[in-house]
Amino acid sequence: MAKKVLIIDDDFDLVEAMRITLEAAGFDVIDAQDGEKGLEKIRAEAPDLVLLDVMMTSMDEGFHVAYKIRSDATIKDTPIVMLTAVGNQTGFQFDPGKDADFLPVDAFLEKPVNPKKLVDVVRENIKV
Amino acid sequence: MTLFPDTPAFSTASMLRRVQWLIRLRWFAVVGLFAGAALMKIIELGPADSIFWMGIAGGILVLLNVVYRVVPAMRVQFGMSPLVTLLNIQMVMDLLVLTFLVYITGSEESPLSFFYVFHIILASIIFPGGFSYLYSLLGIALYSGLLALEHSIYLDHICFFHEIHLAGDIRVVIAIWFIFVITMIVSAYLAQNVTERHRRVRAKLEITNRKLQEVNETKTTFFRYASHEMKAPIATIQSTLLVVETVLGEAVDERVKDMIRRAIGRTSEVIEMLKDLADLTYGNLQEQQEFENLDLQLLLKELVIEAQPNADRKAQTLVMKSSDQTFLYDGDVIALKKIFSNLISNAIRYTQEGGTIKIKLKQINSHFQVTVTDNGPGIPESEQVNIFKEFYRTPSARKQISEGTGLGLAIVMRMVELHDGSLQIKSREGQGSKFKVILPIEENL
Repeated sequence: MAKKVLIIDDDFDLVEAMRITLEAAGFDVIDAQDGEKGLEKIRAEAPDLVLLDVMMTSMDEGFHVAYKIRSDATIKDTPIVMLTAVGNQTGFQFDPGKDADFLPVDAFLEKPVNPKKLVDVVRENIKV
Repeated sequence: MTLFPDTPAFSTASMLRRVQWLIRLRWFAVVGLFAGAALMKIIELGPADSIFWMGIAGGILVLLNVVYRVVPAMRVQFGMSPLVTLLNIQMVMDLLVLTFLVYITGSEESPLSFFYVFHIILASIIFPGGFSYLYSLLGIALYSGLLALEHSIYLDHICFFHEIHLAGDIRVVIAIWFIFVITMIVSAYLAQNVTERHRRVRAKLEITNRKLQEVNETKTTFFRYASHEMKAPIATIQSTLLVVETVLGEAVDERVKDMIRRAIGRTSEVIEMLKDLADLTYGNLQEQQEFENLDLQLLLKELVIEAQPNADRKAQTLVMKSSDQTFLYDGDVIALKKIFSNLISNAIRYTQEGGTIKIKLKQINSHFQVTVTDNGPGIPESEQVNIFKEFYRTPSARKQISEGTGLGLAIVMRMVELHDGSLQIKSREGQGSKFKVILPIEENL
């Protein structure tokens, strides 16, 4: 059965671009427009991996969603790939190796999203 | 050197205000002089001739004041140099009249010699720089000349107090008390005037400074939001284009693939530009500044290793040298990396194939100095003032390499300033360039 990826991002066009790429690579893709709906979908549909945008309604909504996922016993093992466009903008700079200690995510993916890289990162982090 | 710099403090308008102020003060002096003469007459102190000449001196001052008042009013346009001349004439005349008054009230006996001091203070308020010294010299000369003349055959001493026993005679006490009171009041007024002026100027400067800061903050906030708001949609556009490029595959017309590739390239340029703009605002907000103790040598070594592949691609030699010591420094890692990676990548970009780029780190007294030197084409002297300006790229840089935002060195400058450091450039056309970053080491007190 195909692995299911949940994209939580409020940018419809970006969701579509990633959906096309991931579907072409053989994944099932579902999406949610904000953190609240995202959490609901994780609980209801148990995706194999979550692609999570950092900035949605607030600057750091993605962080809060990630913490909520990790603190909910039933879904805490879901791999999370965080999408960031933050980079230089706010002065945050992410280093997955170092920052994973205090940010409970498995990987970071910077926007713009490179299709090949997207597929690679999703494959790497999905739990078989 | 101009004695009267054309600054707001010495503009024609302010000089004219000073002329008027001086005239106003002189009216008070005239009133004081007549009051003094009347007082002397009432208490029957001093020779009648002296009292008479005091009245004459007062009359001369009245006359002069009227002339001073009328002369600038006669001409609508009154230039700077006549104003300065007028002020100087007034000062010199006042000192002459004062010396005359000192003479008729007993020269070395006269307590009026205190009043020289006021004129020196006035001169320092009115004129710039060394004028107060010149006027104190003039005061000394006049007073010394008076004393010298009296002790020669040319001038007789006027014995104002005769043989009166100073403390025993109530009239002398009253006269000296009167001078004392005037001295106190005038001192208070002049000192107040100087400090008030100083405070006003400072308050104005503070207000201007605050306004400038606000403008800068507005600009920064605008950059931050604008770059952030624009980066998101452009990142999405590029993500979409990348998907299209992938999905189209090999079957599509080569021209279409080219078109998409160029479109992707253009979005990349815009994203770079927006990142740079965001960098320019870095550190403007307090919470972003994270100074930590770091090893500057290690940081530079890492950057050199990162830049090595780019230098290799152009067969360039990239070397780093540093003196044998530790380079512990309190700084912002992100900002420092931006400074040196920008300088190193610039050097690699603009230096010809096979060139050499040297990075040197050393300590000079209380600062660390990092130099990035290349043997590339150099930067013409006429361009050197411009290269730190935002968006500026030298014509030859444009010709050589089409991409580039023109923000790199502005960012470097900004980040160096964040560390209270300075940035210098030494370059000659055809002889390479040398960028020197000086970072003061903060002393732990």
